[in-house]
Amino acid sequence: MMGALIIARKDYRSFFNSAVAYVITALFIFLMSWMFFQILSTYASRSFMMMMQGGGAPNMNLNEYVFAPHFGNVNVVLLIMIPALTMRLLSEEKKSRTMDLLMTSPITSTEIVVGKILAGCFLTWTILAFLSIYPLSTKLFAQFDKGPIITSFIGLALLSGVYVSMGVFASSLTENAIIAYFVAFVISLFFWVIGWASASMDGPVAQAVFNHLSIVSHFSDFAKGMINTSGIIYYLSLIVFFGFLTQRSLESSRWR
Amino acid sequence: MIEISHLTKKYGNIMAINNISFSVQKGEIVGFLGPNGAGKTTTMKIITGFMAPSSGVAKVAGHDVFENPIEVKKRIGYLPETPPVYSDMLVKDYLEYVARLKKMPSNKITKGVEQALEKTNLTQVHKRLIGNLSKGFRQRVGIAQALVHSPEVLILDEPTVGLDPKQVIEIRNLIKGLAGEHTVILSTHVLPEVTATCKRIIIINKGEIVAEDTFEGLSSRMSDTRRFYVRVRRPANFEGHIKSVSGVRSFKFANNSFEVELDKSDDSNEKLSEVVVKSGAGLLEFRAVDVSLEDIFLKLTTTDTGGVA
Ligand SMILES: Nc1ncnc2c1ncn2[C@@H]1O[C@H](COP(=O)(O)OP(=O)(O)OP(=O)(O)O)[C@@H](O)[C@H]1O
Ligand SMILES: [Mg+2]
Repeated sequence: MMGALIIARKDYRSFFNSAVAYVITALFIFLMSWMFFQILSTYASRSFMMMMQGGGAPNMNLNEYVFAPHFGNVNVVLLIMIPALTMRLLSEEKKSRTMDLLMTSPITSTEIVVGKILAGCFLTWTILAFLSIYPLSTKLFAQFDKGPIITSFIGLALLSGVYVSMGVFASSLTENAIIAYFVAFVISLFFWVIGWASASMDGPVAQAVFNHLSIVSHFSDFAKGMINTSGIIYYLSLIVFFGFLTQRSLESSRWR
Repeated sequence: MIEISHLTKKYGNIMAINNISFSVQKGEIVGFLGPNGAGKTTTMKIITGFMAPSSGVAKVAGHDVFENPIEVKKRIGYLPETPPVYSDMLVKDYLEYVARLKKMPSNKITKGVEQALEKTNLTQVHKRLIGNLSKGFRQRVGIAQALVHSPEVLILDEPTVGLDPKQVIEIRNLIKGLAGEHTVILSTHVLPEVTATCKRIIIINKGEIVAEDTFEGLSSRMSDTRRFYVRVRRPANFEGHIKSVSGVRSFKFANNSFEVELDKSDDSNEKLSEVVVKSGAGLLEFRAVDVSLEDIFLKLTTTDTGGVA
Protein backbone atom coordinates (compact mmCIF):
# COMPACT_ATOMS: atom_id res chain seq x y z
CA MET A 1 0.00 0.00 0.00
CA MET A 2 3.05 2.28 -0.20
CA GLY A 3 1.92 3.31 -3.67
CA ALA A 4 -1.39 4.56 -2.27
CA LEU A 5 0.39 6.81 0.23
CA ILE A 6 2.75 8.16 -2.44
CA ILE A 7 -0.22 9.13 -4.62
CA ALA A 8 -2.27 10.49 -1.71
CA ARG A 9 0.63 12.65 -0.54
CA LYS A 10 1.20 14.09 -3.99
CA ASP A 11 -2.47 14.86 -4.61
CA TYR A 12 -2.97 16.34 -1.15
CA ARG A 13 -0.02 18.65 -1.70
CA SER A 14 -1.06 19.73 -5.15
CA PHE A 15 -4.50 20.66 -3.78
CA PHE A 16 -2.78 23.19 -1.58
CA ASN A 17 -0.47 24.33 -4.35
CA SER A 18 -3.49 25.52 -6.25
CA ALA A 19 -5.83 28.33 -5.33
CA VAL A 20 -8.84 26.01 -5.61
CA ALA A 21 -8.37 24.44 -2.18
CA TYR A 22 -8.10 27.83 -0.49
CA VAL A 23 -11.08 29.28 -2.32
CA ILE A 24 -13.26 26.29 -1.47
CA THR A 25 -12.13 26.28 2.17
CA ALA A 26 -12.74 30.01 2.53
CA LEU A 27 -16.19 29.82 0.96
CA PHE A 28 -17.05 26.82 3.10
CA ILE A 29 -16.10 28.59 6.31
CA PHE A 30 -17.92 31.75 5.28
CA LEU A 31 -21.09 29.83 4.50
CA MET A 32 -20.97 27.68 7.63
CA SER A 33 -20.30 30.71 9.84
CA TRP A 34 -23.25 32.57 8.42
CA MET A 35 -25.55 29.58 8.87
CA PHE A 36 -24.25 28.92 12.38
CA PHE A 37 -24.83 32.51 13.37
CA GLN A 38 -28.40 32.38 12.08
CA ILE A 39 -29.13 29.24 14.09
CA LEU A 40 -27.54 30.73 17.16
CA SER A 41 -29.47 33.99 16.98
CA THR A 42 -32.77 32.18 16.46
CA TYR A 43 -31.92 30.08 19.47
CA ALA A 44 -31.05 33.15 21.52
CA SER A 45 -34.27 35.00 20.74
CA ARG A 46 -36.41 31.94 21.39
CA SER A 47 -34.81 31.20 24.73
CA PHE A 48 -35.19 34.87 25.63
CA MET A 49 -38.91 34.67 24.86
CA MET A 50 -39.27 31.53 26.94
CA MET A 51 -37.56 33.23 29.80
CA MET A 52 -40.02 36.15 29.59
CA GLN A 53 -43.05 33.88 29.41
CA GLY A 54 -42.25 31.10 31.86
CA GLY A 55 -39.75 32.82 34.02
CA GLY A 56 -36.59 31.16 35.21
CA ALA A 57 -33.58 30.02 33.21
CA PRO A 58 -34.16 28.52 29.78
CA ASN A 59 -33.71 24.79 29.64
CA MET A 60 -33.44 24.57 25.88
CA ASN A 61 -30.58 22.33 25.03
CA LEU A 62 -27.78 23.80 22.87
CA ASN A 63 -26.88 20.39 21.46
CA GLU A 64 -30.38 19.76 20.27
CA TYR A 65 -31.32 23.24 19.09
CA VAL A 66 -28.02 24.54 17.78
CA PHE A 67 -25.46 21.84 17.04
CA ALA A 68 -27.77 19.18 15.62
CA PRO A 69 -29.17 21.53 12.93
CA HIS A 70 -25.70 22.97 12.41
CA PHE A 71 -24.22 19.55 11.63
CA GLY A 72 -27.22 18.82 9.44
CA ASN A 73 -26.31 21.93 7.43
CA VAL A 74 -22.69 20.84 7.26
CA ASN A 75 -23.86 17.57 5.80
CA VAL A 76 -25.82 19.35 3.05
CA VAL A 77 -22.91 21.59 2.20
CA LEU A 78 -20.52 18.61 2.07
CA LEU A 79 -22.87 16.93 -0.37
CA ILE A 80 -22.41 19.89 -2.70
CA MET A 81 -18.75 20.60 -1.95
CA ILE A 82 -17.06 17.19 -1.95
CA PRO A 83 -17.86 16.37 -5.60
CA ALA A 84 -16.03 19.61 -6.47
CA LEU A 85 -12.98 18.43 -4.54
CA THR A 86 -12.93 14.95 -6.05
CA MET A 87 -14.05 15.66 -9.61
CA ARG A 88 -10.53 16.08 -11.01
CA LEU A 89 -8.81 13.30 -9.05
CA LEU A 90 -8.97 10.73 -11.86
CA SER A 91 -10.56 12.61 -14.78
CA GLU A 92 -7.59 14.95 -14.92
CA GLU A 93 -5.13 12.04 -14.91
CA LYS A 94 -6.94 10.65 -17.92
CA LYS A 95 -7.17 13.95 -19.70
CA SER A 96 -3.50 14.87 -19.29
CA ARG A 97 -2.44 11.28 -20.06
CA THR A 98 -0.64 10.99 -16.71
CA MET A 99 -2.78 7.90 -16.22
CA ASP A 100 -0.25 6.23 -18.55
CA LEU A 101 2.39 6.85 -15.89
CA LEU A 102 0.27 5.46 -13.05
CA MET A 103 -0.87 2.42 -15.03
CA THR A 104 2.69 1.52 -16.08
CA SER A 105 4.20 2.02 -12.62
CA PRO A 106 4.78 -0.96 -10.35
CA ILE A 107 1.65 -0.32 -8.30
CA THR A 108 -1.73 -2.02 -8.49
CA SER A 109 -4.90 -0.26 -9.59
CA THR A 110 -6.21 -0.90 -6.07
CA GLU A 111 -3.36 1.20 -4.71
CA ILE A 112 -4.24 3.98 -7.17
CA VAL A 113 -7.87 3.96 -5.99
CA VAL A 114 -6.97 3.84 -2.30
CA GLY A 115 -4.49 6.69 -2.85
CA LYS A 116 -7.14 8.83 -4.52
CA ILE A 117 -9.74 8.14 -1.80
CA LEU A 118 -7.18 8.92 0.92
CA ALA A 119 -6.21 12.18 -0.80
CA GLY A 120 -9.87 13.22 -0.95
CA CYS A 121 -10.46 12.18 2.67
CA PHE A 122 -7.38 13.97 4.04
CA LEU A 123 -8.43 17.10 2.21
CA THR A 124 -12.05 17.09 3.44
CA TRP A 125 -10.93 16.22 6.97
CA THR A 126 -8.57 19.18 6.88
CA ILE A 127 -11.45 21.44 5.91
CA LEU A 128 -13.73 19.80 8.52
CA ALA A 129 -11.16 20.56 11.21
CA PHE A 130 -12.02 24.25 10.79
CA LEU A 131 -15.54 23.45 12.02
CA SER A 132 -14.17 22.97 15.51
CA ILE A 133 -14.14 26.78 15.85
CA TYR A 134 -17.93 26.77 16.40
CA PRO A 135 -18.13 24.47 19.44
CA LEU A 136 -14.88 25.88 20.81
CA SER A 137 -16.07 29.48 20.61
CA THR A 138 -19.57 28.63 21.91
CA LYS A 139 -17.94 26.92 24.86
CA LEU A 140 -16.61 30.32 25.97
CA PHE A 141 -20.07 31.60 26.93
CA ALA A 142 -22.40 28.59 27.22
CA GLN A 143 -22.61 25.05 28.55
CA PHE A 144 -23.35 22.02 26.41
CA ASP A 145 -22.62 18.34 26.20
CA LYS A 146 -19.34 17.42 24.45
CA GLY A 147 -20.37 13.86 23.57
CA PRO A 148 -22.75 14.59 20.65
CA ILE A 149 -20.23 17.04 19.19
CA ILE A 150 -17.53 14.38 19.10
CA THR A 151 -19.81 11.71 17.65
CA SER A 152 -21.06 14.22 15.06
CA PHE A 153 -17.49 14.78 13.94
CA ILE A 154 -16.92 11.03 13.72
CA GLY A 155 -20.09 10.73 11.65
CA LEU A 156 -19.08 13.61 9.38
CA ALA A 157 -15.62 12.16 8.86
CA LEU A 158 -17.07 8.82 7.82
CA LEU A 159 -19.81 10.36 5.71
CA SER A 160 -17.33 12.52 3.84
CA GLY A 161 -15.37 9.33 3.15
CA VAL A 162 -18.54 7.99 1.53
CA TYR A 163 -18.97 11.13 -0.60
CA VAL A 164 -15.28 11.02 -1.54
CA SER A 165 -15.38 7.42 -2.72
CA MET A 166 -18.52 8.18 -4.75
CA GLY A 167 -16.74 11.22 -6.18
CA VAL A 168 -13.61 9.27 -7.05
CA PHE A 169 -15.75 6.68 -8.79
CA ALA A 170 -17.53 9.36 -10.83
CA SER A 171 -14.16 10.87 -11.69
CA SER A 172 -12.94 7.52 -13.04
CA LEU A 173 -15.75 7.41 -15.59
CA THR A 174 -14.88 10.46 -17.65
CA GLU A 175 -12.16 12.87 -18.73
CA ASN A 176 -14.53 15.75 -18.11
CA ALA A 177 -14.43 17.19 -14.58
CA ILE A 178 -17.85 18.86 -14.90
CA ILE A 179 -19.50 15.58 -15.81
CA ALA A 180 -17.65 13.93 -12.93
CA TYR A 181 -19.07 16.59 -10.59
CA PHE A 182 -22.67 16.02 -11.60
CA VAL A 183 -22.41 12.24 -11.61
CA ALA A 184 -20.89 12.35 -8.11
CA PHE A 185 -23.56 14.76 -6.89
CA VAL A 186 -26.39 12.63 -8.25
CA ILE A 187 -25.00 9.41 -6.78
CA SER A 188 -24.51 11.05 -3.37
CA LEU A 189 -27.94 12.66 -3.45
CA PHE A 190 -29.53 9.37 -4.43
CA PHE A 191 -28.11 7.73 -1.32
CA TRP A 192 -29.72 10.51 0.71
CA VAL A 193 -33.17 10.25 -0.74
CA ILE A 194 -33.23 6.48 -1.07
CA GLY A 195 -34.65 6.47 2.48
CA TRP A 196 -37.77 8.29 1.28
CA ALA A 197 -38.90 5.06 -0.31
CA SER A 198 -39.41 3.59 3.13
CA ALA A 199 -42.49 5.80 3.59
CA SER A 200 -44.24 4.18 0.65
CA MET A 201 -43.27 0.62 1.58
CA ASP A 202 -45.84 -1.74 3.05
CA GLY A 203 -43.95 -4.20 5.19
CA PRO A 204 -41.90 -3.10 8.17
CA VAL A 205 -38.96 -5.09 6.81
CA ALA A 206 -38.92 -3.17 3.52
CA GLN A 207 -39.25 0.08 5.45
CA ALA A 208 -36.31 -0.85 7.64
CA VAL A 209 -34.21 -1.83 4.63
CA PHE A 210 -34.71 1.49 2.84
CA ASN A 211 -34.20 3.39 6.02
CA HIS A 212 -30.94 1.55 6.52
CA LEU A 213 -29.79 2.32 2.96
CA SER A 214 -30.19 6.04 3.52
CA ILE A 215 -26.93 7.67 4.51
CA VAL A 216 -28.66 10.51 6.40
CA SER A 217 -30.73 8.29 8.70
CA HIS A 218 -27.51 6.90 10.19
CA PHE A 219 -26.06 10.34 10.52
CA SER A 220 -28.90 11.56 12.72
CA ASP A 221 -27.85 8.96 15.30
CA PHE A 222 -24.32 10.31 15.30
CA ALA A 223 -25.71 13.82 15.72
CA LYS A 224 -27.63 12.67 18.81
CA GLY A 225 -24.45 11.41 20.42
CA MET A 226 -24.79 7.75 19.58
CA ILE A 227 -22.00 5.67 18.10
CA ASN A 228 -24.03 3.76 15.60
CA THR A 229 -22.14 0.55 14.81
CA SER A 230 -24.38 -0.51 11.96
CA GLY A 231 -24.00 3.01 10.56
CA ILE A 232 -20.22 2.78 10.72
CA ILE A 233 -20.32 -0.60 9.00
CA TYR A 234 -22.69 0.72 6.34
CA TYR A 235 -20.53 3.76 5.61
CA LEU A 236 -17.36 1.68 5.43
CA SER A 237 -18.99 -0.83 3.13
CA LEU A 238 -20.17 1.97 0.82
CA ILE A 239 -16.60 3.32 0.70
CA VAL A 240 -15.26 -0.14 -0.14
CA PHE A 241 -18.02 -0.75 -2.68
CA PHE A 242 -17.40 2.46 -4.64
CA GLY A 243 -13.66 1.90 -4.31
CA PHE A 244 -14.16 -1.51 -5.88
CA LEU A 245 -16.25 -0.05 -8.72
CA THR A 246 -13.51 2.53 -9.35
CA GLN A 247 -10.87 -0.20 -9.48
CA ARG A 248 -13.00 -2.11 -12.02
CA SER A 249 -13.44 1.06 -14.02
CA LEU A 250 -9.66 1.63 -14.13
CA GLU A 251 -8.92 -1.98 -15.03
CA SER A 252 -11.51 -1.96 -17.79
CA SER A 253 -9.43 0.64 -19.64
CA ARG A 254 -6.76 -2.02 -20.10
CA TRP A 255 -9.18 -4.19 -22.05
CA ARG A 256 -10.70 -1.66 -24.39
CA MET B 1 15.08 -9.47 -22.45
CA ILE B 2 11.85 -8.81 -24.30
CA GLU B 3 9.92 -11.60 -25.94
CA ILE B 4 6.78 -10.98 -27.90
CA SER B 5 4.91 -13.90 -29.33
CA HIS B 6 1.81 -13.93 -31.48
CA LEU B 7 0.54 -10.64 -30.11
CA THR B 8 -2.80 -9.49 -31.48
CA LYS B 9 -4.83 -6.47 -30.45
CA LYS B 10 -8.26 -5.52 -31.71
CA TYR B 11 -10.04 -2.29 -30.88
CA GLY B 12 -13.60 -3.36 -31.55
CA ASN B 13 -13.42 -4.31 -35.20
CA ILE B 14 -10.16 -2.55 -35.91
CA MET B 15 -7.21 -4.90 -35.99
CA ALA B 16 -4.43 -2.71 -34.58
CA ILE B 17 -1.74 -5.41 -34.52
CA ASN B 18 -1.98 -8.87 -35.94
CA ASN B 19 0.08 -11.82 -34.72
CA ILE B 20 3.31 -9.97 -34.06
CA SER B 21 6.34 -11.88 -32.77
CA PHE B 22 9.84 -10.62 -32.12
CA SER B 23 12.44 -10.60 -29.41
CA VAL B 24 15.02 -8.14 -28.18
CA GLN B 25 18.27 -9.19 -26.52
CA LYS B 26 19.66 -7.54 -23.42
CA GLY B 27 21.56 -4.37 -24.26
CA GLU B 28 20.12 -4.05 -27.75
CA ILE B 29 18.59 -0.92 -29.21
CA VAL B 30 15.77 -1.69 -31.59
CA GLY B 31 14.02 0.80 -33.82
CA PHE B 32 10.33 0.40 -34.40
CA LEU B 33 9.42 1.89 -37.72
CA GLY B 34 6.13 2.22 -39.48
CA PRO B 35 3.69 4.69 -41.03
CA ASN B 36 0.91 6.34 -39.00
CA GLY B 37 -1.51 3.85 -37.56
CA ALA B 38 0.84 0.91 -38.09
CA GLY B 39 0.46 -0.25 -34.49
CA LYS B 40 3.72 0.91 -32.91
CA THR B 41 2.12 2.66 -29.97
CA THR B 42 -0.28 -0.22 -29.46
CA THR B 43 2.60 -2.72 -29.26
CA MET B 44 4.44 -0.52 -26.80
CA LYS B 45 1.37 -0.10 -24.61
CA ILE B 46 1.09 -3.86 -24.39
CA ILE B 47 4.76 -4.38 -23.52
CA THR B 48 4.52 -1.80 -20.73
CA GLY B 49 1.42 -3.41 -19.27
CA PHE B 50 -0.76 -0.39 -19.94
CA MET B 51 -3.07 -2.46 -22.07
CA ALA B 52 -3.92 -6.13 -22.40
CA PRO B 53 -3.51 -7.86 -25.78
CA SER B 54 -6.47 -9.63 -27.34
CA SER B 55 -4.23 -12.68 -27.59
CA GLY B 56 -0.56 -13.56 -27.43
CA VAL B 57 2.13 -13.23 -24.80
CA ALA B 58 4.60 -10.49 -23.92
CA LYS B 59 7.50 -11.25 -21.59
CA VAL B 60 10.03 -8.88 -20.09
CA ALA B 61 13.06 -10.30 -18.25
CA GLY B 62 11.31 -13.65 -18.17
CA HIS B 63 8.15 -12.31 -16.51
CA ASP B 64 4.84 -12.43 -18.28
CA VAL B 65 3.50 -8.87 -18.46
CA PHE B 66 0.00 -9.97 -17.47
CA GLU B 67 0.78 -12.60 -14.90
CA ASN B 68 3.45 -10.63 -13.12
CA PRO B 69 2.87 -6.97 -13.98
CA ILE B 70 4.60 -5.51 -10.93
CA GLU B 71 7.89 -7.29 -11.63
CA VAL B 72 7.76 -6.17 -15.25
CA LYS B 73 6.82 -2.57 -14.51
CA LYS B 74 9.66 -2.16 -12.01
CA ARG B 75 12.09 -2.84 -14.85
CA ILE B 76 10.54 -0.56 -17.46
CA GLY B 77 10.89 3.13 -18.17
CA TYR B 78 8.20 4.30 -20.56
CA LEU B 79 7.83 7.47 -22.53
CA PRO B 80 4.32 7.51 -24.01
CA GLU B 81 3.35 9.54 -27.09
CA THR B 82 2.24 12.38 -24.83
CA PRO B 83 4.72 12.98 -22.00
CA PRO B 84 2.83 12.07 -18.80
CA VAL B 85 3.63 15.22 -16.84
CA TYR B 86 1.67 17.22 -14.27
CA SER B 87 1.64 20.85 -15.29
CA ASP B 88 1.19 22.02 -11.68
CA MET B 89 4.40 20.38 -10.46
CA LEU B 90 8.01 21.53 -10.41
CA VAL B 91 10.34 19.52 -12.65
CA LYS B 92 12.34 18.21 -9.73
CA ASP B 93 9.34 17.35 -7.55
CA TYR B 94 7.80 15.53 -10.49
CA LEU B 95 10.89 13.41 -11.09
CA GLU B 96 11.08 12.57 -7.39
CA TYR B 97 7.45 11.54 -7.46
CA VAL B 98 8.03 9.28 -10.46
CA ALA B 99 11.10 7.74 -8.79
CA ARG B 100 8.95 6.94 -5.74
CA LEU B 101 6.18 5.48 -7.87
CA LYS B 102 8.76 3.27 -9.57
CA LYS B 103 9.79 1.94 -6.14
CA MET B 104 13.29 3.35 -6.29
CA PRO B 105 15.03 2.93 -2.90
CA SER B 106 14.63 6.31 -1.16
CA ASN B 107 18.36 6.80 -0.55
CA LYS B 108 18.98 6.65 -4.30
CA ILE B 109 16.24 9.03 -5.38
CA THR B 110 18.15 12.32 -5.04
CA LYS B 111 21.06 10.96 -7.05
CA GLY B 112 18.77 9.42 -9.67
CA VAL B 113 16.87 12.66 -10.16
CA GLU B 114 20.10 14.62 -10.45
CA GLN B 115 21.46 12.28 -13.10
CA ALA B 116 18.22 12.26 -15.08
CA LEU B 117 18.21 16.08 -15.03
CA GLU B 118 21.79 16.18 -16.26
CA LYS B 119 21.35 13.60 -18.99
CA THR B 120 18.39 15.47 -20.45
CA ASN B 121 19.90 18.96 -19.94
CA LEU B 122 17.18 20.04 -17.56
CA THR B 123 19.31 21.05 -14.61
CA GLN B 124 18.79 24.76 -15.18
CA VAL B 125 14.97 24.43 -15.21
CA HIS B 126 14.60 21.99 -12.32
CA LYS B 127 12.78 24.60 -10.22
CA ARG B 128 10.34 25.57 -12.97
CA LEU B 129 6.70 24.66 -13.17
CA ILE B 130 6.25 22.01 -15.86
CA GLY B 131 3.17 23.82 -17.18
CA ASN B 132 5.31 26.82 -18.04
CA LEU B 133 7.90 24.86 -20.02
CA SER B 134 7.99 24.82 -23.80
CA LYS B 135 6.93 21.72 -25.68
CA GLY B 136 10.49 20.52 -26.27
CA PHE B 137 11.37 20.93 -22.62
CA ARG B 138 8.27 19.03 -21.60
CA GLN B 139 9.31 16.25 -23.96
CA ARG B 140 12.69 16.20 -22.23
CA VAL B 141 10.98 15.95 -18.85
CA GLY B 142 9.14 12.97 -20.33
CA ILE B 143 12.45 11.37 -21.27
CA ALA B 144 13.95 12.17 -17.86
CA GLN B 145 10.92 10.54 -16.26
CA ALA B 146 11.55 7.33 -18.20
CA LEU B 147 15.22 7.29 -17.17
CA VAL B 148 14.99 8.37 -13.56
CA HIS B 149 15.03 4.93 -11.94
CA SER B 150 17.61 3.66 -14.49
CA PRO B 151 15.39 0.84 -15.67
CA GLU B 152 16.70 -2.22 -17.46
CA VAL B 153 14.27 -1.68 -20.30
CA LEU B 154 13.30 1.60 -21.95
CA ILE B 155 10.30 1.91 -24.19
CA LEU B 156 10.37 5.26 -25.96
CA ASP B 157 7.47 6.28 -28.19
CA GLU B 158 8.81 8.92 -30.60
CA PRO B 159 11.39 10.30 -28.14
CA THR B 160 12.71 13.21 -30.19
CA VAL B 161 9.40 14.68 -31.32
CA GLY B 162 9.34 18.45 -30.82
CA LEU B 163 13.02 18.84 -29.96
CA ASP B 164 15.37 21.31 -31.64
CA PRO B 165 18.14 19.89 -33.88
CA LYS B 166 20.84 20.21 -31.26
CA GLN B 167 18.71 18.43 -28.68
CA VAL B 168 17.79 15.76 -31.19
CA ILE B 169 21.47 14.94 -31.59
CA GLU B 170 22.05 14.98 -27.84
CA ILE B 171 19.10 12.76 -27.10
CA ARG B 172 20.13 10.35 -29.85
CA ASN B 173 23.61 10.18 -28.37
CA LEU B 174 22.07 9.66 -24.97
CA ILE B 175 20.01 6.76 -26.31
CA LYS B 176 23.02 5.30 -28.11
CA GLY B 177 24.97 5.51 -24.85
CA LEU B 178 22.30 3.41 -23.14
CA ALA B 179 23.16 0.38 -25.27
CA GLY B 180 24.79 -2.46 -23.40
CA GLU B 181 23.37 -1.81 -19.98
CA HIS B 182 19.85 -0.93 -21.02
CA THR B 183 17.59 -2.54 -23.53
CA VAL B 184 15.78 0.03 -25.65
CA ILE B 185 12.86 -0.04 -28.05
CA LEU B 186 12.12 3.26 -29.73
CA SER B 187 9.53 4.13 -32.31
CA THR B 188 9.83 6.88 -34.84
CA HIS B 189 8.84 8.17 -38.26
CA VAL B 190 12.14 9.98 -38.56
CA LEU B 191 14.23 7.56 -40.56
CA PRO B 192 17.69 9.01 -39.86
CA GLU B 193 16.90 8.50 -36.21
CA VAL B 194 16.85 4.76 -36.63
CA THR B 195 20.02 4.69 -38.69
CA ALA B 196 21.66 6.94 -36.12
CA THR B 197 20.72 5.04 -32.98
CA CYS B 198 19.55 1.53 -33.67
CA LYS B 199 21.39 -1.67 -34.40
CA ARG B 200 18.29 -3.43 -35.50
CA ILE B 201 15.16 -2.23 -37.24
CA ILE B 202 11.69 -3.67 -37.12
CA ILE B 203 9.42 -2.32 -39.81
CA ILE B 204 5.74 -2.69 -39.12
CA ASN B 205 2.88 -1.89 -41.44
CA LYS B 206 -0.87 -2.28 -40.94
CA GLY B 207 -0.27 -4.23 -37.76
CA GLU B 208 2.17 -6.74 -39.19
CA ILE B 209 5.94 -6.98 -39.21
CA VAL B 210 7.14 -6.61 -42.78
CA ALA B 211 10.87 -6.63 -42.16
CA GLU B 212 13.28 -7.15 -39.31
CA ASP B 213 17.02 -6.82 -39.78
CA THR B 214 20.04 -4.54 -39.43
CA PHE B 215 20.09 -1.54 -41.74
CA GLU B 216 22.86 -3.09 -43.87
CA GLY B 217 21.00 -6.36 -44.02
CA LEU B 218 17.84 -4.59 -45.10
CA SER B 219 19.47 -2.55 -47.81
CA SER B 220 21.35 -5.47 -49.31
CA ARG B 221 18.27 -7.61 -49.21
CA MET B 222 16.15 -4.92 -50.75
CA SER B 223 17.70 -5.00 -54.20
CA ASP B 224 19.88 -6.98 -56.56
CA THR B 225 21.02 -3.85 -58.40
CA ARG B 226 23.29 -0.91 -57.68
CA ARG B 227 22.65 2.70 -58.55
CA PHE B 228 25.17 5.18 -59.88
CA TYR B 229 25.02 8.89 -60.26
CA VAL B 230 26.91 10.14 -63.32
CA ARG B 231 27.33 13.81 -64.24
CA VAL B 232 29.13 14.81 -67.43
CA ARG B 233 29.98 18.13 -69.06
CA ARG B 234 28.54 17.22 -72.52
CA PRO B 235 25.52 14.98 -72.01
CA ALA B 236 24.47 15.02 -75.67
CA ASN B 237 24.93 11.58 -77.29
CA PHE B 238 26.06 10.21 -73.96
CA GLU B 239 22.99 8.01 -73.73
CA GLY B 240 24.23 5.66 -76.41
CA HIS B 241 27.43 4.98 -74.54
CA ILE B 242 25.54 3.98 -71.41
CA LYS B 243 23.16 1.76 -73.34
CA SER B 244 26.11 -0.13 -74.78
CA VAL B 245 27.16 -1.42 -71.36
CA SER B 246 25.74 -4.87 -70.70
CA GLY B 247 24.12 -5.11 -67.29
CA VAL B 248 22.48 -1.69 -67.36
CA ARG B 249 18.90 -2.21 -66.28
CA SER B 250 17.62 1.30 -66.69
CA PHE B 251 18.66 4.92 -66.53
CA LYS B 252 17.17 8.31 -66.06
CA PHE B 253 18.35 11.66 -67.33
CA ALA B 254 17.66 14.82 -65.41
CA ASN B 255 19.52 18.07 -64.65
CA ASN B 256 22.50 17.21 -66.82
CA SER B 257 23.07 14.01 -64.89
CA PHE B 258 22.22 10.36 -65.25
CA GLU B 259 21.07 7.87 -62.69
CA VAL B 260 22.00 4.41 -63.84
CA GLU B 261 20.68 1.19 -62.38
CA LEU B 262 23.14 -1.61 -62.86
CA ASP B 263 23.34 -5.35 -62.20
CA LYS B 264 24.99 -6.12 -58.90
CA SER B 265 28.27 -7.38 -60.35
CA ASP B 266 31.76 -5.94 -60.24
CA ASP B 267 32.21 -6.69 -63.96
CA SER B 268 29.35 -4.44 -65.05
CA ASN B 269 30.53 -1.88 -62.55
CA GLU B 270 34.02 -1.81 -64.05
CA LYS B 271 32.64 -1.73 -67.58
CA LEU B 272 30.43 1.24 -66.88
CA SER B 273 33.21 3.36 -65.44
CA GLU B 274 35.45 2.46 -68.39
CA VAL B 275 32.80 3.45 -70.94
CA VAL B 276 32.03 6.69 -69.16
CA VAL B 277 35.64 7.78 -69.04
CA LYS B 278 36.35 6.76 -72.64
CA SER B 279 33.21 8.42 -74.02
CA GLY B 280 34.92 11.79 -73.89
CA ALA B 281 31.79 13.46 -72.56
CA GLY B 282 33.83 15.10 -69.80
CA LEU B 283 33.21 13.26 -66.53
CA LEU B 284 32.46 15.57 -63.63
CA GLU B 285 31.03 13.27 -61.02
CA PHE B 286 30.62 9.51 -60.65
CA ARG B 287 29.37 7.94 -57.46
CA ALA B 288 27.34 5.09 -56.03
CA VAL B 289 23.88 6.04 -54.78
CA ASP B 290 23.04 4.38 -51.48
CA VAL B 291 19.70 2.78 -51.02
CA SER B 292 18.21 4.97 -48.34
CA LEU B 293 16.05 3.79 -45.52
CA GLU B 294 13.35 5.97 -47.06
CA ASP B 295 13.44 3.81 -50.16
CA ILE B 296 13.24 0.61 -48.15
CA PHE B 297 10.55 2.00 -45.96
CA LEU B 298 8.41 3.21 -48.82
CA LYS B 299 8.90 0.02 -50.74
CA LEU B 300 7.90 -2.10 -47.77
CA THR B 301 5.00 -0.05 -46.59
CA THR B 302 3.39 1.34 -49.71
CA THR B 303 3.42 -1.61 -52.08
CA ASP B 304 2.29 -5.12 -51.40
CA THR B 305 5.76 -6.61 -51.59
CA GLY B 306 5.55 -7.75 -47.94
CA GLY B 307 7.18 -10.92 -46.75
CA VAL B 308 10.75 -9.70 -47.15
CA ALA B 309 11.50 -10.89 -43.66
N1 LIG C 1 -8.13 3.61 -28.39
C1 LIG C 1 -8.31 3.22 -29.67
N2 LIG C 1 -9.53 2.89 -30.12
C2 LIG C 1 -9.72 2.47 -31.39
N3 LIG C 1 -8.75 2.34 -32.29
C3 LIG C 1 -7.50 2.65 -31.92
C4 LIG C 1 -7.21 3.11 -30.59
N4 LIG C 1 -5.88 3.33 -30.50
C5 LIG C 1 -5.37 3.03 -31.71
N5 LIG C 1 -6.34 2.62 -32.55
C6 LIG C 1 -6.13 2.18 -33.95
O1 LIG C 1 -5.14 1.17 -33.95
C7 LIG C 1 -4.27 1.32 -35.04
C8 LIG C 1 -2.83 1.40 -34.57
O2 LIG C 1 -2.65 2.57 -33.82
P1 LIG C 1 -1.28 2.98 -33.14
O3 LIG C 1 -1.55 4.15 -32.30
O4 LIG C 1 -0.70 1.78 -32.48
O5 LIG C 1 -0.40 3.38 -34.39
P2 LIG C 1 1.05 4.02 -34.45
O6 LIG C 1 1.88 3.07 -35.24
O7 LIG C 1 1.54 4.35 -33.10
O8 LIG C 1 0.78 5.33 -35.29
P3 LIG C 1 1.48 6.77 -35.19
O9 LIG C 1 2.72 6.67 -35.99
O10 LIG C 1 0.49 7.68 -35.84
O11 LIG C 1 1.72 7.09 -33.76
C9 LIG C 1 -4.74 2.56 -35.80
O12 LIG C 1 -5.50 2.12 -36.88
C10 LIG C 1 -5.59 3.29 -34.81
O13 LIG C 1 -6.63 3.97 -35.46
MG1 LIG D 1 2.13 6.06 -32.21
